[in-house]
Amino acid sequence: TPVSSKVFIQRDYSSGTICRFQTKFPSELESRIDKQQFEETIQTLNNLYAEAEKLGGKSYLEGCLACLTAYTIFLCMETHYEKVLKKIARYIKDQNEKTYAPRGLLLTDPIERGLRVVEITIFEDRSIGSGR
Amino acid sequence: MPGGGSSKSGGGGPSSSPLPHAVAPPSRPLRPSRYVPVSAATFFLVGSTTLFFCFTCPWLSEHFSVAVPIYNGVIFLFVLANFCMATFMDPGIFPRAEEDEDKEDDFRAPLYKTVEIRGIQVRMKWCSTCRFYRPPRCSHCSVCDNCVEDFDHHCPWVNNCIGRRNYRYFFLFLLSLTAHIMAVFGFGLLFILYHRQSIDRLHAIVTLAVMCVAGLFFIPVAGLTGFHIVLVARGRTTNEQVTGKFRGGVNPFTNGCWKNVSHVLCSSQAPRYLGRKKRVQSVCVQPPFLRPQLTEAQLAAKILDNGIQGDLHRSKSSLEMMESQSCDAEPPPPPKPELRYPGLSRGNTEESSLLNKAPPTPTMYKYRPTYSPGKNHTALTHAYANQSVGSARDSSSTSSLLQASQQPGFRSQPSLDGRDTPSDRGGGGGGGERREGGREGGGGGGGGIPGYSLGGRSYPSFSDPTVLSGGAASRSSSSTHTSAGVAHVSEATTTSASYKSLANQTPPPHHPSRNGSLSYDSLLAAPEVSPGRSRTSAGGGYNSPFLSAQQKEADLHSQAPSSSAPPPSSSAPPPPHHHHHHHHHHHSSSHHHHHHSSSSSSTSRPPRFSAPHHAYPYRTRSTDVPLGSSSSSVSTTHPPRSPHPPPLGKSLSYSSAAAAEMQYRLVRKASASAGGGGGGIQAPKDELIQMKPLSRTNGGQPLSSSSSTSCSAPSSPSHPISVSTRPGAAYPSPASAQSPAHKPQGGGVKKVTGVGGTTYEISV
Repeated sequence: TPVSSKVFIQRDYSSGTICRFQTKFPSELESRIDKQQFEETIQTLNNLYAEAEKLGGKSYLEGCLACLTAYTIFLCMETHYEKVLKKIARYIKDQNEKTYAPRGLLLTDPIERGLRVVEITIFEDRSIGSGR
Repeated sequence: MPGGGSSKSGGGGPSSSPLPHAVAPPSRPLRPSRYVPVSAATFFLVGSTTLFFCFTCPWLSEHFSVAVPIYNGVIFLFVLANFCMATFMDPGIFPRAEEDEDKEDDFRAPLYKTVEIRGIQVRMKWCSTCRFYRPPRCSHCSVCDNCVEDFDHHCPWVNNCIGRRNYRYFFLFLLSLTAHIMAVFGFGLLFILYHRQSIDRLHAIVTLAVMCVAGLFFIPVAGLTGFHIVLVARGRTTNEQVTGKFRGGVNPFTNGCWKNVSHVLCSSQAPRYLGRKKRVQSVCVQPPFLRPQLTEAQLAAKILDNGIQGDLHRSKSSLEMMESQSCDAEPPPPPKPELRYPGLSRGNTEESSLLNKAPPTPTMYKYRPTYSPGKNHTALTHAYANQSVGSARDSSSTSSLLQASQQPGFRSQPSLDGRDTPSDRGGGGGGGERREGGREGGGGGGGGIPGYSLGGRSYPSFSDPTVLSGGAASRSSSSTHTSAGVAHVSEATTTSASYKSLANQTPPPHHPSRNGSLSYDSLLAAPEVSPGRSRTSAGGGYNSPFLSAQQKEADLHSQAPSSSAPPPSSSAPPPPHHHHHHHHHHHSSSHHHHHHSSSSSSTSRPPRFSAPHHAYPYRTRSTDVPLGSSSSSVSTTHPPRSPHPPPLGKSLSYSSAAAAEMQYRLVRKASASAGGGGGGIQAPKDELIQMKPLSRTNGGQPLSSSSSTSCSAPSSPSHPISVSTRPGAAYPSPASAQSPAHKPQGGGVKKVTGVGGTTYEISV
């Protein structure tokens, strides 16, 4: 299916450099997906990233352990952030399969863009003469 | 030791490609000099410690305790581990943006985008190498040729950038190295004290040597450690500290001392962006596609709220709905060709948006060549990015402006004489011409752009960027301000006072291809200099391609602190003067600044600021009418000027930047209004200069003030000094940008008539 266009959801820096994406519904998607659905997706992603970057006991212990083992632990153990990133990747795949692909959209994992944008590919809709 | 390549985190096979591309990049030229510091550091560290362990420790472990070598061994291991992590770990390099990510921005996008972080305006600069707007705290390292997240600095001792991912290891390396040096020195001293009699033995000699090395390295290492302890506590990066970004301002990235420390030490290891396994898209996207069902109420609301936007989508959706048995029975309206929102479609936005919309005129826009020439980032005049980050990058006006600027890039001087009123100028007010009465381009930056493309607007490029930046001030003072966009920009600019973007990259190179140099020469030959034009030092490290021209201009113009002749213009001089003042202030405070300015222009700045300095808090001043008040308070005003022809040459040279300038002027209409005069001409220029990142030593404040002073052209057409009181601290633009044409009245003063009758006086 040919690609019609791409929308890039930018980062929301209003709270600092924590990873957050803007929940503003882009106009290009207005005819393709419900606003609530989109916002829900972005909000879930934001929550997941917040969980990844959380300064909690888990991350602290992880740091101490890494220190004690002269960071050799990184060779065998997956860091907390990476674990959450995997979770995010699964979530995005799931969303794509269930919600976005049926609507001719495709989410791209923002980690592929350096966590700068969420790329949504809009596929051309040939079934209806939308005249794109 | 290769830097920035492999990562030791548990992320799978690291890729050590030097360039963050998916494709195998061409190998970078081997630069052996890069490896000298790191090799020396490794040599001294490992060599000295080995000698210590071999010659000093055996005796110590016998006579004192075995814990001594164990303790030293543990610390040394820690040092080595952190050293290796700091050296080999990816600091947080951003992968280059894909082609389609920035295609919206071709030639139309602003150079800077502003975001508000906790109420503080922060600028994000466009990185021409990496093709995206640098996130806050990100910076492009010229050594590694990468944008690095939370860039701290490039450390030659580890031959790697220190960024978000490896700052912790670098910090711990410093701490542990300090401890290690102290331990080695201490235990070595202990050894020597007990071996005073047999000091000529090999063991003692070696220990003495090791102690010397340790003592030698202790001072700088401890100093650096202390420095970074302070940085961590304050939540700043080295980059921000040395460029003085937060000097006098507020750091939007700090969470308090405790949280800052815990973030550095206890946060989870940040992920690598490069070398990730690319997930194969397993989802199959095939039509027919579901469409959201729109109720009639929704449609009606859309039409009412979004105008074209709603209609545009509605036209499509209604068609679909008819086919998909939607409940909406209305016939779709004819699709509107003109889009109000550039983000909707890129195609025909320029004209329509110009005419219909008053976009928040970006004050800066980037000039993007058709290809990516690597680092070179030829920026034309800079349009101040509008605040909407998430939306389309640039308003249509910017794009149109940029487009327009492209065309007249090579226009010959005579074309400027046309001073044709752009007929296609629509939207908000004049295309940035500074006419008498301070008519400002207003918010409808788009409107003026077509006119600029005709070449008539090119001279405004010389306008003070401050004029443009002084949108806030100008706005308040300008009576001609009509477009909301200007207000929008003004707000943006005013709020950006407290944060200065880091000027850590090389300014865009001069445009040899742009008639800048050519036209400038002609400009210099012709123009007259209006005396008393306060010239804001164009230095400050602002390397605008047009800077040299402006600098020369500034130099030519005498800084006559005479009162400005025309009443409206009286307001103009003070701001520029303040601008100068601030600029000068900073000059004296930082040689860095001076260096930049001197490098960019041959003129020496300090002598210029003869006028009394008024601590004019441009930065802090937001939207008040500073121009008027400032002008009155400052004795230095524009000297009375007779109408002069505007500096055509100037405009020519900046023809490419003209569009941006126009934008500025439109935005800065206030500046014109403030000065009342044809500040327009000045404004663009200043903005230009402003845009270029200047030496950050200024700490931003003085810079912003200087830049902001450029607005408000004096009422007299001949005196396009624009003083912008915009407190836009976002621009590190130096005061240098300020001085459109303030030079001591030299022998030859060329008067150039700009569009709309404003005149520039340029001393030859």
